[in-house]
Amino acid sequence: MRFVHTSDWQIGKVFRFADDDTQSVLQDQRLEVIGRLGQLARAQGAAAVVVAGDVYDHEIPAERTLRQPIERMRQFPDLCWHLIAGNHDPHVPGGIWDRLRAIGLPDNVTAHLDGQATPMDPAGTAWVIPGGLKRRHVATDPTADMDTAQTPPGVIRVGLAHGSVRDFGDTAHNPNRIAIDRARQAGLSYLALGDWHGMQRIDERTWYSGTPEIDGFDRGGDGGGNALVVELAGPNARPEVTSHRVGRFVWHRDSATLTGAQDIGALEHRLRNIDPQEAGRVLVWLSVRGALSLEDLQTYQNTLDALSSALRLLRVDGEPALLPRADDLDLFGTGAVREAARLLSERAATGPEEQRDIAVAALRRLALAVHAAPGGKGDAS
Amino acid sequence: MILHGLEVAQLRKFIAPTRLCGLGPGLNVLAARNEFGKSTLLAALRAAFMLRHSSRGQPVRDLLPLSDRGAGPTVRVDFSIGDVSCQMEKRFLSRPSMTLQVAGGETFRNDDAEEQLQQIMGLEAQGRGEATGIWSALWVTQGDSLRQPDLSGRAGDRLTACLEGELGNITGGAEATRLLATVREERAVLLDGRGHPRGRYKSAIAEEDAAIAEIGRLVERRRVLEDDIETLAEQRRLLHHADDATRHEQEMADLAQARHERERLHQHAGRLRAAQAEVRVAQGALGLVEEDIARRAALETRRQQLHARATELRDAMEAARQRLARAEQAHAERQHDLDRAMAQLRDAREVHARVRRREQAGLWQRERADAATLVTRLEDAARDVARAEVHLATCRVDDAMIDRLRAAERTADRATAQCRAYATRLEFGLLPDMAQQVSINGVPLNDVVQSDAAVEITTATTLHIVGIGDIRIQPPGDSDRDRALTARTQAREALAQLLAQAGCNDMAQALDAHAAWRQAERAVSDARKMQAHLLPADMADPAAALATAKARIMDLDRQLAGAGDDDAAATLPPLPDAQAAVTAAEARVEAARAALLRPDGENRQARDMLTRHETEMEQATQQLEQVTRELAAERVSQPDEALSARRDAARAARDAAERAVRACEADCPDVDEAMVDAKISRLERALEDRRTRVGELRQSIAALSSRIEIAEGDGLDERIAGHERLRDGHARERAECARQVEILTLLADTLATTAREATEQYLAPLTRAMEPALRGLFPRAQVTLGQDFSITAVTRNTQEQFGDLSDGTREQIAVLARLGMADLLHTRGQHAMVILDDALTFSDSGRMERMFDILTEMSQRMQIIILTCRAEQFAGLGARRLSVVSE
Repeated sequence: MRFVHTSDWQIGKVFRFADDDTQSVLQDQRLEVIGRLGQLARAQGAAAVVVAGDVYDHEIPAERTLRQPIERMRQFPDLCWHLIAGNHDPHVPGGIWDRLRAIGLPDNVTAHLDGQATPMDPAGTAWVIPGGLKRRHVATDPTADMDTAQTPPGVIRVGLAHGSVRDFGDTAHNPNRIAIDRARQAGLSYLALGDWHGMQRIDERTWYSGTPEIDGFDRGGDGGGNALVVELAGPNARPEVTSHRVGRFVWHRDSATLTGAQDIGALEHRLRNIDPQEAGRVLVWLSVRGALSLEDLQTYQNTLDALSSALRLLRVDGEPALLPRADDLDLFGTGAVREAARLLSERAATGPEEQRDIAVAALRRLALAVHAAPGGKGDAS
Repeated sequence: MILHGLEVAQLRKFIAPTRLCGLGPGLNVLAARNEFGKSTLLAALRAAFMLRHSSRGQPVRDLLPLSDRGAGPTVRVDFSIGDVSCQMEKRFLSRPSMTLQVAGGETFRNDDAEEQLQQIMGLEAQGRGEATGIWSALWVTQGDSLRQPDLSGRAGDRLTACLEGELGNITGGAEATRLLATVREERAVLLDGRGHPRGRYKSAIAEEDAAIAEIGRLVERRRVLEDDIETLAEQRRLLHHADDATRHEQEMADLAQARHERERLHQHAGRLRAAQAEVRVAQGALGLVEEDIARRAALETRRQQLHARATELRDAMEAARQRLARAEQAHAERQHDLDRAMAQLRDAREVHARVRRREQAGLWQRERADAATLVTRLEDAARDVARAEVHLATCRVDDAMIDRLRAAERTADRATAQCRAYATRLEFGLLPDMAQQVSINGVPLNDVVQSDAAVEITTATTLHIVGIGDIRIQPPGDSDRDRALTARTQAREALAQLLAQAGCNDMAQALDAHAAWRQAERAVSDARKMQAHLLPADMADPAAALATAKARIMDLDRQLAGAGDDDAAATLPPLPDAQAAVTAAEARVEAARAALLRPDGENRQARDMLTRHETEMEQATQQLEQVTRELAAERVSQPDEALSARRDAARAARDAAERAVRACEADCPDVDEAMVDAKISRLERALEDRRTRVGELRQSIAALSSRIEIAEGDGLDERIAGHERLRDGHARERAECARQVEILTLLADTLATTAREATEQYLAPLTRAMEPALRGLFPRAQVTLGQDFSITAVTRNTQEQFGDLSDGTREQIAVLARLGMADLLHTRGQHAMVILDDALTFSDSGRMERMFDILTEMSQRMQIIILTCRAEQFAGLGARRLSVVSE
């Protein structure tokens, strides 16, 4: 038996830090990846795709958002898609799953809402034992009933659940907690888990697939963007799990301490080489510190402008401070403009950090204005 | 720069080629009448230097002649700038062209010529084909002399360059100011004039607020949706419960059973009501018999009571009669007391009357004695008045007589004085003891001369001196003197006659007689006053008063005689005692009468009691007879034994009916009808409520489902997340705008500070350049300049804002400012020339003279051209006289 394990599609997710264009592209790719999953299943000869929860990002999505993933799955009638409810889309009365039921799911899509074991494919060689969530947070183990789930003898038991097998330091409140040895206790051939956005192997029969399309800079595991192809030769056979890249975007978090033009060049080189072939797939969250001369600040600003245009997203935290050199003021010529630059430079070197930041920015703007002016010092040089 | 020649053609009123002649260095004046074309010549000059030949703007179209709108206005100018002589010709609109010929150099045409001209003149391209510069400020058109020159753009730069050159270094003030303007423009994109956000900053704030508001609204909708979902689940549970068929059937069966029990209860209740009715009938029959028996017993009792009552009443009537007899005897005794008191009152009143008569006779006798005394006094007073009046009648010199005498005496004195005026005055100055030796008309001189030792002679007089002889003096004859003498004589005679009438020898006697008359008159008056005092107030006639008094005496005598004599009067008590005796007697009479008239309760009660007993006796007797008749009649119709037998039969019938009721009650079903009714009502209501409830729940569930479906279809969570993303984006945008505003504000403030400091440095030389000319007109005056070189204030004794000055002063200062700038440019080797068109129109003659001096002094360094319509006023300027010649 071969199937694809995926989870945490979170269709309809909103990326607050992104501008409208990036937001639109990121949302689109979360839908497109369903097609890539179907193609992966076909390519790998899998008969089914199990989705371990969080198909949707919101409990109350818009009608179009609700239908969009269903329609993508409908396009693969040769595949059986098995869905369960996650903490983002729990099966609450009158909730999202009731809406889907009212709409009517395609024959090849099964929403496991009642906890009953169901054949994974028409042949019935493997059965899905679901453990979907009925509330966003449940205090009990959502996989507890798997131990007693009835399946025909000799079939492959595949658990499908959403939750965490490990707490994150919050021992007092750790909802949706899943026993780490559930696969053994319940006699499962494989326990397909969702909730963690990075792919993670818990044991040989227990895996998190991670989200197929990365949605943040700080996800656990490998960061997501993969799907798992699971091969089970029999109920007791060891599962053969292989990871396949299906995500489009590269989310990269970086930091830099800039003290001169060389640092700026190195940073640019590093960021441009994350994906040299297609920088438009790269999203970067950059933290910057350090101090630059006025001229280097100009260089830094130019570099940022260029990278912002090249990358899909460049988010920058922090700013290098101004490190004025003795000859920097010469850039402003003589007279009142130079005097203004000197005053701003003094202000940038002393006082509270916010005041220094504003003064640096004002000085940089003054330098740009002087250089941009007809007959300015920049033209002269 | 010096303008040597100007020629125009096809330009406004100058159709034919027209040349301005006589131009040269120094002061030039074109004096001509209004509408001569002076301003047109200046407009032509400005157009030549400041408008591109290819321009078709309104300033160029304004140059067209009115008569030919298709013409091409042409201007030719000969000028030298520095050591370079130039000739320029421009033609506008129709076949526009320009040539600029530089002496010793090449000739430029059209756009090349324009650029060359701008370089030579330091002009700055400005807008559509226009150029301006410091010349625009120095060539003052008509009406602009009141305003300060506009020194924006290159004009200001050029002036700044001069000023900075004077300082010996570059202050950078102009560049800082320009950068400041740029920064302010950038900030103005984010903030309006009042510092409020605008543009994308304002939009970010507004959109963030809108997103927050929308999030709030969506969250509220989501809360409502969650409530609806919970409500829907609850209502579905309720519907499931309400729509339970098993419960419905059970309740229907319970209802049928309850209704059956109620029917049984109703049947038993009917039987019980019938038995109870039988009891009530038997009870009624028994009641009738018992009523007959009771009524007969009551009649017997009544008869006995009435008999006893009649006996009691007879005894009471006898007692009442005795009581009445005692009361009437007491009334007779009170009547006797009243009669005795009345007799005593009559006696007391008789004594009182006699005492009053005795008192009245005494009063009359005293009144008669008073009347007799009055008669005597009136008669004495009448005699005194008569005697005084007789004495007064003997005095002849009364007030009238003495007035006439005094008048006659004054007349005699005036006549004597008049005679003295005509007399000869003879004054004597004799030795002592010689006067007796002299006599006048025989009278010794001492007897004749008056106090001043002079004698007045009016008639012929003989003066005799002993031992010497006579001297006769004859006054001169005169008719006036004779008349005066005659008048004196007549006056003296009249006086003598009056004295004789008065019985006096002279005026002294007359005055004494008049005093006696006065005394007699006072005696008469005193006697009359005394007589008047005796008269009654209502009677002024003494005789009538006397007669009245005498009549009263006679009347009193008659009353005394009529009063008669009471021999025992002296023994009577005094009047107050008699009066007290009467009062005491009256009190006793009143007391006796009150006692008699006081209500006699005993008498009345005894009489009333007797009457009431008699009445009751009569009634009791009648009732006794009536009851006795009724009782006898009943016993005749039904004897007492028959009546007892009827009662026993009725009691037996009643007992039988009551036993039947108890038997029926014992057969009653063991259920409570009220409980059965309540159960039926409860079940009926429950069934009806369930039907209603099911209907309502189904309707409510349908409505809720519809509402939830709509709300869920909206994707509230997704929309909330979307708006939160928008809110965060707008918040970032707002923060970035705020940061940009802060940066631009800091930059602008810093640049403004340094620019101001730089401006203050280079404005000082400009102020110094202006002040010589200014002080020529306003001694000890100082000017304050703004960063745009405009004069903001003038300090004389106090600082005055430029806008607050008079028109004349503002115009003079504006002209002086231009002259000062031109002088500064000239000093710094720059080209400068001033043209004033119809300026100084508001200046008085004194200031005009000083302005002439200043212009004359300035003209030694630069060319100044003045266009004016007031030839005679500028005649004293000593300038070149310009003329206009047309071909």
